[in-house]
Amino acid sequence: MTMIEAPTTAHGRPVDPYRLGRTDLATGHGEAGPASERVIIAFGFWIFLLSDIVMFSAFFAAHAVLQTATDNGPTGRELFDPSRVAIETGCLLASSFTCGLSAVATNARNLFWTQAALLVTGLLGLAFLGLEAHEFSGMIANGVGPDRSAFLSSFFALVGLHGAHVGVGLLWLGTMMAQLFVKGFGSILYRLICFNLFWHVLDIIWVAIFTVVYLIGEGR
Amino acid sequence: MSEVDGRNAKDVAPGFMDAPGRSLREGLLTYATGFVLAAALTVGSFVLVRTNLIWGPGIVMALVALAIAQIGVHLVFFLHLTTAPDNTNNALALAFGVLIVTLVVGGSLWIMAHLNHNVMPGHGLAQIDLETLAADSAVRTKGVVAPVAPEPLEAQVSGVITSVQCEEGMHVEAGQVCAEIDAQPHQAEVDKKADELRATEARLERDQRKLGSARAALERKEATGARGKGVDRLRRSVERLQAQVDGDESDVQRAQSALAAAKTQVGATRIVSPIEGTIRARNVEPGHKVSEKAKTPLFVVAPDSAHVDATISAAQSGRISVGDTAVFTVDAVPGQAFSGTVTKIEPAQGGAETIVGIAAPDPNHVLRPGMMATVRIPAR
Amino acid sequence: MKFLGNLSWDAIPWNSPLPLIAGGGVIAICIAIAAWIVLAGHLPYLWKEWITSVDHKRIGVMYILLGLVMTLRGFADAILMRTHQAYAYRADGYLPPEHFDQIFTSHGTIMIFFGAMPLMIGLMNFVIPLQLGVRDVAFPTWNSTSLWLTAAGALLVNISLVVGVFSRAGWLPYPPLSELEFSPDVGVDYYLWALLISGVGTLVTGINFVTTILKMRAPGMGYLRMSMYCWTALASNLLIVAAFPILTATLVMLTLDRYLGFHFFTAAGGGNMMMFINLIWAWGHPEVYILVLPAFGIFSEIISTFSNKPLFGYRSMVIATLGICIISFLVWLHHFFTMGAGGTVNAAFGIATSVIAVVTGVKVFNWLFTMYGGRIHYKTPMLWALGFLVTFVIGGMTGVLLAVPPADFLLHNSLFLVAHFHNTIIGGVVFGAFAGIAYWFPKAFGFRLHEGWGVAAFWFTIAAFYAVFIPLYMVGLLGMPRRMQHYDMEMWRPFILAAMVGIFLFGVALICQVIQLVVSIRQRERLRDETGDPWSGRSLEWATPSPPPIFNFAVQPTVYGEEPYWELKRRAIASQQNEGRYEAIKLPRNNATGFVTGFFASVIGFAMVWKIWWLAILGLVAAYAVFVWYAWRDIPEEKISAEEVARIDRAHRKSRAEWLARHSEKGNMA
Repeated sequence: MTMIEAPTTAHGRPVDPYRLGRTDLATGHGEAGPASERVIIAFGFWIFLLSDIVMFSAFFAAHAVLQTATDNGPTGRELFDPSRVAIETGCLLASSFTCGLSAVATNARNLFWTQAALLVTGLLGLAFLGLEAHEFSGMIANGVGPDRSAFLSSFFALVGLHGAHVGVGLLWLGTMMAQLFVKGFGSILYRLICFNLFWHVLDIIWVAIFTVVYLIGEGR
Repeated sequence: MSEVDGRNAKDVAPGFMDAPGRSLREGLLTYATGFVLAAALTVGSFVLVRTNLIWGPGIVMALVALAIAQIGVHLVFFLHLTTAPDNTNNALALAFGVLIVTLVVGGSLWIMAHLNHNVMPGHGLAQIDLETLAADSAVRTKGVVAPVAPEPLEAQVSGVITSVQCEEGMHVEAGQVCAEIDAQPHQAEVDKKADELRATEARLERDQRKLGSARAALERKEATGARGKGVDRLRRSVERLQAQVDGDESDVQRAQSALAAAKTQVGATRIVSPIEGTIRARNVEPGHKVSEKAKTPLFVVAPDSAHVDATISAAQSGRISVGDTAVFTVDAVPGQAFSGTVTKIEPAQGGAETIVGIAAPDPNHVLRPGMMATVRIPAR
Repeated sequence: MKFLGNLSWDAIPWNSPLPLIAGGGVIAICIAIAAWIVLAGHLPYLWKEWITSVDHKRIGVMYILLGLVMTLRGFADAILMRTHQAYAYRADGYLPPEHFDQIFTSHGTIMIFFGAMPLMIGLMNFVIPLQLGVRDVAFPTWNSTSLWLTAAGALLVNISLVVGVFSRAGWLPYPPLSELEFSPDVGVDYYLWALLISGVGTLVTGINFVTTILKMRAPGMGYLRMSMYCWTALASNLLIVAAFPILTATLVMLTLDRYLGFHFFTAAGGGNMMMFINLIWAWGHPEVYILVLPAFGIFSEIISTFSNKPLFGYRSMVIATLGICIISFLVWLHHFFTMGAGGTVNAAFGIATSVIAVVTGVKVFNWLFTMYGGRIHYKTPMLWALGFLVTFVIGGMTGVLLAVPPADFLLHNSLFLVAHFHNTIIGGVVFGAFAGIAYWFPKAFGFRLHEGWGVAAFWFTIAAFYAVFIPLYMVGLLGMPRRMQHYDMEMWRPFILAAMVGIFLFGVALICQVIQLVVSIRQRERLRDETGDPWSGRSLEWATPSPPPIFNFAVQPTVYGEEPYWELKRRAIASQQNEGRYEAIKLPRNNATGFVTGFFASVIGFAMVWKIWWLAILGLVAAYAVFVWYAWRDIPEEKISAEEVARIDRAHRKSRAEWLARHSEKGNMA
């Protein structure tokens, strides 16, 4: 590191042009220099996830406003099947758990268990996506698609956006599993951490969706 | 950038299982605990909606609380977010995110609800009313008391009032007699018309007999094959008689309607209230001479019921039907609830809304047209 | 399914001479420049050193270049509008309504998204890592991707000039006008895809800078030792992270309405148009603070440097900045007071809007107190700062006037409003951009800009600004609405004519800027900056040579107090002697990920606009392939040896020592 010594005034006291009244060498957080690469990557990804949550909140706000704009069409009560939602929730929650297990395995640098846990995560995610696709296609085939009313538009958009995130996540998961298989751990370590964050936040958003859209929406 | 690993070992990013600190067992335990808790909360949410454990309107709050709890479980057990000093950046970032989400969602809901502020109640879009978030299935809406015109009782015939039975402020039933006009001249008219009818009927009968015999004579003549002036004369005679009979028939009809009109006149000498209500005004005394051409009504009856017009969404209309009880309160009349019946449900133009008509008795006439009403129609 | 979707030869405006000639001219110029680059052999250099660069300094320069070019483009729209309105009194003017509408839409869209944002982001890109004492931002390749995604958006908007039409719905496309029913052509689609693509780029920039500022600073630089520009950059980027997702969400909703028949904002199906207005302004208000906060930071730097004093009231400035950051999320309804939210809501947001003026006032007073008692040098950047102080305060005052709902009921959507927001954006953001460019140009290129032409540009600009917008304020008070293709009120005419005179003055000002650049390049040896510190700066970027080497600092500095560089200088001679221990430096390698991503983004955007589905899918597949290729790379970094670092640093120290030796008798450097 640098050899520049601490500057002083002529009287030997440290300078304080902003008159903050502090004489200690460093204040606040982050004074030990740039953080490590893994902290930087994970924190940056955390900020990205928060921005994603804000984007979802805009869709939530639209859905809250439009939940009763059914235009003579079917309401939530008539459309939603609680048992299917329960199964979807179970799949996603379980996949979140297995994703966490893969993080434990990664920490222990165990390639086999990491891949196994990631595989189960992916399969559960696919199951979730399949159920949701089935729900959507059924509704559209019955003429109750997003073009039927504003309520349905907001439903399809919100739940569909979440599903799209799950889909992109699965694509990412597949790519990473392939990379792990070919190259082992290494630079992928940080990305596994990011994927963990991503998957858990998706489950958090799903908690909000099944509460607001399905359970509360059923009562309208 | 050069790696400066280890310099700031106290700085941790979210989602980390900080490798040196945690053993395999600890890691598994954390995730397993989180999973069990989250599953329990999920099951709780689903079960809550099915059963009656929580009072209806409170279900929404309970669901929200369970959701927040589950999100917290995720954050702590899966994302390892704590309030430890090395996690400050992450926790503050999350707090910032939560603040923004609250402002966006809460602000939008507040603003959108108020955007209907200057719109007629029941019209406009998405009625976000905190009441409607309650989980019971009653239909709630706002309505307006519609003007119901008071009924004037006018004289249909001229004459002299012989008796008055209704006073101002009196309650009358439908069909109740309020006043009587001297029927005698009208009755005399009825008698005269009856006589005329009898006369025309007699004439008709006589002409029909003549026509019958003339027809018979013509047929006999034609049957023998005769031609010539005699036959023509007979034919012309039949035609003349036919025309006469036709004329007689219309005379009879005219006489019948004249009689009926005269009878109606007699009937109209009894001034009757067509609706149930209260006499608002009385403008006659016994002995007055009234004419059917007069503009002033004899009585004004105000109905004892009020009519409320409300608008609901098409979805809500599926939950009620004509004949349902409707309860409403009116801001201008605090402390009082009115109970009425749904009299009509019909879709408004455009299809997105449905107009509901409610009739409720209002014997004290406190409901005036234009008053705003808050309506609740419990579902069956 | 047609091979080229809805695209056909009819998309080119054969019948409209103006766009045809303008577009043709631009294409010709672009081809000429491209030809010169290739034929003169500059392409390999450009590709290796600039287009694929992940160096924040180069990326910053490219952002600023994009911003300046697009500002000129937006200015062309402004000239068209002012001259057309001067003609259009009881007459048709020379722009038919369907063109005039596209022009005011593209003016706003281009100026905000592709003019002002790139200028501010470019300056932050260049300066912030240097001021933090680090080598680059947190995610250099993502930084490059942001730049090229923004450029892709700009490209799409400009393509719409010659292929198809642009949106006619205003820079914020309110439904139902922007829905398919009333805007069936591709205009709004161009707008949507350009902004969706560049919005992703901006969001990634926000994430990049928040992470950099919070997690990557020189050792010893605690929060309260950062420069003020770093604080305002932090606040601005936090706002980007918080607000741009809302823009993306709302534009996605409109896109779904237009492409897949959704009913978010349509009249049919129960849609709610006010929801669009509500959400888009929940983004729109933070956006203007995203633009102006970096400008505030730039002025803090300039005012303290050119007054030879530390910034007054540093802590209150920090609090005021963070206060503006939070409060800017509490005021968005003031953009639609008149749309029926009622008295309670209007009052709440009106009060919040007035409160945000208070915290801004704190900053203004701190700047004034910084100047008081200092020794002020009236160089070009300081002139811009003084111009900003006067102009922005006037703009802020008209803003407080508009914050009163009853007043806004009269002035909403009038030219008074237009003058207000131009007042704050030009007085704040544009002046800030010009000031920042003048201030940091020597650092970026190694020679100063010509002072005389800079002064001329400043005076013409500020005169032009008042000449255009004071009449617009007045005519707004007289009731003239905005966006009028023609009008017949006689009493408005003189003001519109006066504004036209002003816009020509603005043209003169911009010509001065261009001349300044040309003259400075010609005289660069005379204007050379030998020490890396031409203005006697106070923050760390002035410790590097001009231009800085790719690794910024040969030895990472340790910070012991506020204004770290100022302290360095007090021991100027001594500190030059102290060499650090030189080590090899690892830097991320330049790579084409950003450019290729931007390229495929343009392809996807164009394909989606014209509904050429196979091309869009191809673009998405290619983008995914780029992601995989980037993720699979083996050698992400290159190493600069310790000897090379030492050589560069020693050359810089030698040049400084010589300069000091020449000037040390003269006292303060000026």
